[in-house]
Amino acid sequence: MTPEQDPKTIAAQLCEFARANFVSEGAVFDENSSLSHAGIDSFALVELLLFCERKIGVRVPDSHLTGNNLTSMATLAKCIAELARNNQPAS
Amino acid sequence: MSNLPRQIRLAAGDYFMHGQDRRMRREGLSGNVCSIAMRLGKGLDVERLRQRMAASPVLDWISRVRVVRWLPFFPPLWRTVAGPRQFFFEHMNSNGAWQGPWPLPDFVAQHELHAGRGPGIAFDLVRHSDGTHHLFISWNHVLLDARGMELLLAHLGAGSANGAPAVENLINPKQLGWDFRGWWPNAKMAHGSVKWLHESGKDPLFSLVPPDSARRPRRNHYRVVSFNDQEAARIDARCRQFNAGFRRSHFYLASSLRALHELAVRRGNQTGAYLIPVPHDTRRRGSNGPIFSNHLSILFYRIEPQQAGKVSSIMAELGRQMSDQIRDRFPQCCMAALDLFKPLPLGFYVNHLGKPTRGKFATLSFSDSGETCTGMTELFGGKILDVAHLVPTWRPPGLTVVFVSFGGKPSALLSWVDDCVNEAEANGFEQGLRAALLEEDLS
Repeated sequence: MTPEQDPKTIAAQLCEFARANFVSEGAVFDENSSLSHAGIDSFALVELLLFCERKIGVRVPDSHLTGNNLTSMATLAKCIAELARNNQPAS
Repeated sequence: MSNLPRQIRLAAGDYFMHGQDRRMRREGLSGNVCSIAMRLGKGLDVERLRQRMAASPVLDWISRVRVVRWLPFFPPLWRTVAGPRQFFFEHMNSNGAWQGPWPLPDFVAQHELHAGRGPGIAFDLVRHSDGTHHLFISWNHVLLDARGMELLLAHLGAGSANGAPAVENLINPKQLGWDFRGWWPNAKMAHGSVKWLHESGKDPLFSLVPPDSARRPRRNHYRVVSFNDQEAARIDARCRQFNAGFRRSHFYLASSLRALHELAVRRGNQTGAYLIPVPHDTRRRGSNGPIFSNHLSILFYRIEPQQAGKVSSIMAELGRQMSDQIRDRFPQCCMAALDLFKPLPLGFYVNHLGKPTRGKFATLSFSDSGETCTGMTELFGGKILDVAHLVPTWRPPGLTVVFVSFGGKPSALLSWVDDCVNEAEANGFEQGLRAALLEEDLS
């Protein structure tokens, strides 16, 4: 599987997954929404990262789970796109 | 007043909590009853609070609902009874002698809050002579989990404000009607979690519960470990150090576990692993409901003593086990197993749950309730000065740690049963917890 490398496409996929699985119906949530304000916790984060592995084909190592990368879906998507470009497929 | 149903299904988490309530009463404790103690500043409008409580269909329904089972081996249900009994009590404390939150005043501690006989919830308002108040809310855990109580508080405090939890947020629509069709898929899902627990129980587990299990009166003890502004900032810095912004609860659990390991080593434990079930709220983030019932799934962590000496190594292990379990859908499998066992009579159910671990059940009960009273600064004119959550510990495991945050400042509630942990060990545990949260790893 060739990992997706476009940050916008990745952000859209992440938002769709979040809306379908753990963000409250009717809540305003887009790629620029703050993850902490949206109530994303460790459990939701792991679900999100496993989704990345499964659907986008990129494993995000712990060292990349920094505050900056986890500000919003857009920043997380940018990090994932960089990892994809650096050819780090799911192991 | 509202079209709330007379009867709904018990969630798997509700029956589990009912089982724990039964187990606690059998062990001589006073039941699976939680309390919140709120200290309120001057200006509380008691009449408005009284009116709000009397007018709330949510509170009316919760006070009238009871656990029933029509026939043996039929799933238990929630069913409302016709007339409510009193659940709001007012008291005067003119001499101001009691300042709380622990020990609870006798009139709070002596409520018989039973989910079968009801009402399972009580509000005690204590008026102090200086114009301040204490509001105690006590409830049987079978009715509400911690998040549910937060939503109920928001419902009461916000009145009819837009976006506040309201009557349509009370129950989960999935709990309406019967669900015999769900049993077979549950049976298939449950198999994996039951097998894991049996395998985990084969290897040695550390337990704080003494082997002597003669029935006699026992007591829950509580201690609130508070942190000042500098310590709260230090905990934030430590979370950043461990890259735990979104895994703050892992840092809290790792610190608790290191403190427990020190206690266990002092008791001579060398090989017994630590088994910790951690509940997880399954409501959607930011949602206003459901208020009623227990909406949780469970992650089970097993930490070997060799890994338990350092916060960093425990956190690495927690992260690995969490990912593995979510990948394997283990939390859903656990809840499927609990759902499957619901038709079992309560006594049999309680014994059945303890079987995989040969009665040890867990080493530590842990939860991170997050921020309490979010967005609430006052209640009917009385400024919320302080909030303490008192969560009873089950036996086993005999020791509970609950982290909660108020106004952005964390605190930890330690709760233990007197024959499982003595006062000196509780002091040692508190020191160990503070050291793990605030200081560098020693080893």
